[in-house]
Amino acid sequence: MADFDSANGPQSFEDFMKEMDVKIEEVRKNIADAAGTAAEALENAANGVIGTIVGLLPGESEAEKALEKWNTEIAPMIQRHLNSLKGDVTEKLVEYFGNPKAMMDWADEYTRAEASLRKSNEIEQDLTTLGFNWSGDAYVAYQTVATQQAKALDSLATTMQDGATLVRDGATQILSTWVDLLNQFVSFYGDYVSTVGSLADAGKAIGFWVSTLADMIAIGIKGVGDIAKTLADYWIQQVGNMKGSWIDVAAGGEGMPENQWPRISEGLSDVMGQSPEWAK
Amino acid sequence: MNVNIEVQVPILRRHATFWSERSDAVDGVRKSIEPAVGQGAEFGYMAGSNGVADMYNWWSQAMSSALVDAATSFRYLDAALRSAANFYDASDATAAEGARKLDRMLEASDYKGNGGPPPLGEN
Repeated sequence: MADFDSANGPQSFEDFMKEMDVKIEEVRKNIADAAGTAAEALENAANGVIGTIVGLLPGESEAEKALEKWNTEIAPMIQRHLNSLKGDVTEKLVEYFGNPKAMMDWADEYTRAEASLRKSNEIEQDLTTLGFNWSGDAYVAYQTVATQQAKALDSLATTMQDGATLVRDGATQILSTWVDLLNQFVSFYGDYVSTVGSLADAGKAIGFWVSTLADMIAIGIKGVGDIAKTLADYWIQQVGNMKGSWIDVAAGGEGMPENQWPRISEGLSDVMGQSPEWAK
Repeated sequence: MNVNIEVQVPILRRHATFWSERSDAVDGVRKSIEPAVGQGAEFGYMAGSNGVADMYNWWSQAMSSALVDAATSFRYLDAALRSAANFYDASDATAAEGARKLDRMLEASDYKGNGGPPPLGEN
């Protein structure tokens, strides 16, 4: 099957889990096939010994010992791994959860909000025009407030866009991590499958340590965890301290401190509220 | 200073309309982003355990609150400018907002604010 990419990869966690099920089944089948081949080879070897060599007591040949070890130690271990593989992997997949589709929708909404707020902010020229003939205290107070409010609108638009970028990038990262895992998952168990296949050789089977298989299964689970860690590292970086990070944006970036909208002060509102003060 | 009231009052009214329209615009923006506010959990387990969800929730709530406060400010400016225009042209003196009533618009509205600084210390 061709590798996944951002275009044909899963777009929802549900789809990701479905694709992972397919991959897990592929790995289980690879292991089962390798085990079946090895078992058949060992059986044939043992039967061959019984049929052709005279003078050996039953169970004394290398092939028979290998088959015995296969049946009593190796095959049960492989069966346990086949039984638990899906559960063990699925348990780790919670670390991959995310809702990139919704996040993309929100990012688009924040981007539209930014455009709408910018469009709302065309007062400066009018302020100048108004100032040609007005010069009272109320006008000065109004000019101060209006300039401050217009600037805040601009800052809000900028912060909205910065947030949209972070949300969109986060969604993209989730999708890309899913694709990475799907593309690499089968390879995590490549050594396990090869090793099981190699046990068709009676000599190897006899000297084989079954704990090696458990170590190899652990390597597969570690591979799942390592890719999840790339997602964790990404989020750590996105929170970070650099410009455009969540810490920066949540603190207001270069706009309103802590994104707090500037209140109209009571003093200025008092002056504006006194109508005769508009024209001295 | 010689003030040309006839010329200036329409400008005051235009400014009032400007702020009135901005108030509607920011209300519209706030409604459009509302479904996204506080949804940091959707970023996933890893984002949550590394502080992104909290940060996003704080930020999105701050955006929503800022839009509420912006609308409050803009409505006040609209009313203050209309009040001044009404005072000058006396076309509809009864519609003029008294200074006390204008003050109350800011007091009673209780600027929403955003509850303080973002949760930086938690990360």
